[in-house]
Amino acid sequence: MRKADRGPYVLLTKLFLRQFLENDLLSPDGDRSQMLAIVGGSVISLTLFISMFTSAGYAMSIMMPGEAAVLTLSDKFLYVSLAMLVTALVAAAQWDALAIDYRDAVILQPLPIRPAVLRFAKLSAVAALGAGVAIAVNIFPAIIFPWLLAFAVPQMHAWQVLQLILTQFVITVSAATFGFLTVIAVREWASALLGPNWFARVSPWIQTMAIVLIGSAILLLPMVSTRVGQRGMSGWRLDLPSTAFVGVYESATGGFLADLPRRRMTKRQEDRDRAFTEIYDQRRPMFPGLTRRAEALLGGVALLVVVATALNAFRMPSIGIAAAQARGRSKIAFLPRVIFPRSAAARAGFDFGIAILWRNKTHRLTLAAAAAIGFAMVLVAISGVDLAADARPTARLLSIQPLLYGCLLVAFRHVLRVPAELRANWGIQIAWRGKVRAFANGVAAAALLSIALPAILVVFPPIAFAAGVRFAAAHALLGVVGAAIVLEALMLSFDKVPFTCTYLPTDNMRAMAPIYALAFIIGAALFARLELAILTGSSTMGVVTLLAILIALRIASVLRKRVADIDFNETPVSLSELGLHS
Amino acid sequence: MSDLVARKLTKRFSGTRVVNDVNLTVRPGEVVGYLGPNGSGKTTTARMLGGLLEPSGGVVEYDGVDIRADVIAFHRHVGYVPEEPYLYPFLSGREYLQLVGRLRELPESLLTEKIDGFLRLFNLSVAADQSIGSYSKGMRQKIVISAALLHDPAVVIFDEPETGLDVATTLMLRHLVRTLATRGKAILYSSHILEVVERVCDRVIVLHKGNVVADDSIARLRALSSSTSLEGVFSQLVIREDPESIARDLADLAATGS
Repeated sequence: MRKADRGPYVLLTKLFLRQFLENDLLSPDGDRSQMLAIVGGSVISLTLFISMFTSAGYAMSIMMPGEAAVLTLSDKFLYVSLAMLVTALVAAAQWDALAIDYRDAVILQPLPIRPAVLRFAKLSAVAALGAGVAIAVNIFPAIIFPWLLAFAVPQMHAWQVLQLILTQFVITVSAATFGFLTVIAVREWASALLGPNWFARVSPWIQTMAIVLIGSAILLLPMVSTRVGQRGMSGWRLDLPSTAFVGVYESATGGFLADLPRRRMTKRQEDRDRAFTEIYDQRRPMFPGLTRRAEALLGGVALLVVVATALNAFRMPSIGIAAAQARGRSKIAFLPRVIFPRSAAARAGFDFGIAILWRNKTHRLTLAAAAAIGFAMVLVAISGVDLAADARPTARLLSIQPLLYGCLLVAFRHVLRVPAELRANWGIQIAWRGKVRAFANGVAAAALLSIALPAILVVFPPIAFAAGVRFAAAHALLGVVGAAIVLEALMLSFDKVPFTCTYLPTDNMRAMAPIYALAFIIGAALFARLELAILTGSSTMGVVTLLAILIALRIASVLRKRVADIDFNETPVSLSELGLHS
Repeated sequence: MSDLVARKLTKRFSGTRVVNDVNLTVRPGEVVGYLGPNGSGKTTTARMLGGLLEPSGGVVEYDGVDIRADVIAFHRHVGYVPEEPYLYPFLSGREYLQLVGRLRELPESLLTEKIDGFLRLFNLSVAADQSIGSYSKGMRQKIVISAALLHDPAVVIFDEPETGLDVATTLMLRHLVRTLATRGKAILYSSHILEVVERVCDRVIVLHKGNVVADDSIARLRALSSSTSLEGVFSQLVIREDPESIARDLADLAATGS
């Protein structure tokens, strides 16, 4: 780098790092110190909690060396995977900011700075972000896990504990780097292969898919990482990148846990130690191969990132971003006229709802997170189901549908209260004619069509495979009725203009969330049982019950008194009490 | 057609008076210019007149009725063009106009006809289906103007509407404002471009630090202040420092060290 470029490079790197915090990671209007404290506090408390929760058992027991060597493989797998997935999730959440975007180009292009300096500064900021997240996520587990393990295996010397701490830190940070680079590689290659115009169209969907996949994987991690050592590193577990990094871990420590000197043991302890040592010795020859795989994975993904970044830089010598994207008229523009021929406000709500749920970043990402939770629940539910063809359908199999659309609809109920663009609400405010119910009906129809229906279609294939297409189609129909009931129930207490009014947080949400979650799971299970009874022909009353609930909710919604004057800019109580709002 | 009247209109933000006892009347067929330097309270007044901001004191009346009695009914008669054209960036121009038109409950066929017409006349047909996020400020301003006129309002409030518009559109906008006035619309035109106000407005209200310092026809204001132009009148009323000397100081500061 030229000497003259160093000053701008440092300034730009700092600017991009601040942008990650202020514009992308946090709310654009949020207070930086407060939000940093919240994010930092969350990361520290979460990692502390996870490491204490998973490792506390070591402090309260004495383990044989062979037993410790095998049982700790599960924890190592958990920490490596968690580091990889959390860092990947941060990268996916920062998707648009990982490269120079339109906003950067507009502001920075007129300045007398070489494009190469801008790109290098952006890369440095991205690298700093990745390193920061990787260190923050892994620092506490790297200390706590080996430290508590030393209580269970007192034969370990202090230097061996230190070696374990350093190895854990280096391996988990490497795994985190792999996760971070994988997301960047996907983004850069998508950009290189699709070109700027197509990439702009497809990018939000790739990001959403990435968040759904990574989020689901994080939620499934506790289940996947139990008894890793005992169950054996074979099958699909062996193919996971996390397993490769666990291999590096064991190679780096030389598996010294299994080789520690034995203390006096009872006969039973001796047998147990021998059995575990045998298991570990069976795994031991796999570690060099896994190490080579991990090195190849990390090197490969780094190479992919470098090549794609260079390719993009070569193809776009100017940092200017492609001009406006022509979207073309909506293919479903006729739908609101068909569904709501008489209500213009409902048509407005329908179109506005579809646009926000599919295109607005905040709302889309919230729904993606909900989809991740839903898919994790689906996988947990389906894991105990016999999916062989012609197997008898069970309530557990049928529950995957309400679990998935239920998660999405609950998230939809939350995002209804989040304004799509608060500064733009004046346009709706001035055109508003007080048709809250009609507008909300339009938005609810948009949710049914764009959220619930795709969720029902996604789970259609496994149910059709297990129980036949006719059964699955009938189940899908019942699912639509169920989704309509859930939507009616969720919308019953909603008094604002969706996506428009100021967001006011619910005060008691933290206290109520576990109760709501429990009620949701019980509700989904009961609904699945009812569906099973209806579909297997033993309950015609079930259909009547469902329709009666739907009609009752509809009547309650129509009869319910609404607030006459909508306050689009309602002030949070705390601000009013402090006199911070005129 | 009815008058839009503000009586003793006041707005305080955290105890600071931004608009202070403003009285004004906008009559059908009349274009009232609302002038003032930056921070004088023009936008705040416009938002209160449009029923978008609650006044701290005073009332806004339309057709002799306090607009707070039924803001929604008042909004049926109002078109508002804000200073900053904040719009939903993920909607296209056409979708935004459709949203506004449907909320105003315009018949679907009429709405389509009007939207196509506005987009064509504002040269936005090509960009009609692109995201507003990719629009220039001028393009967004054209969408905002279209949205304000979609329902043929009786009162139109323009708050510095020429911001970001090209020369041809600015000229067209001046003619549009005059044409709307001749068709009986009551128009409040807030701006700090004196030349535009001088050409477009019948009457001028000058605001300084939240207070009305002049309210009369341009001809009478010229006569009273013995000036030949609105610029001269404005200078006498609100400009306390010598602009030439400040300009000289700024140029000197820019040249410091070079």
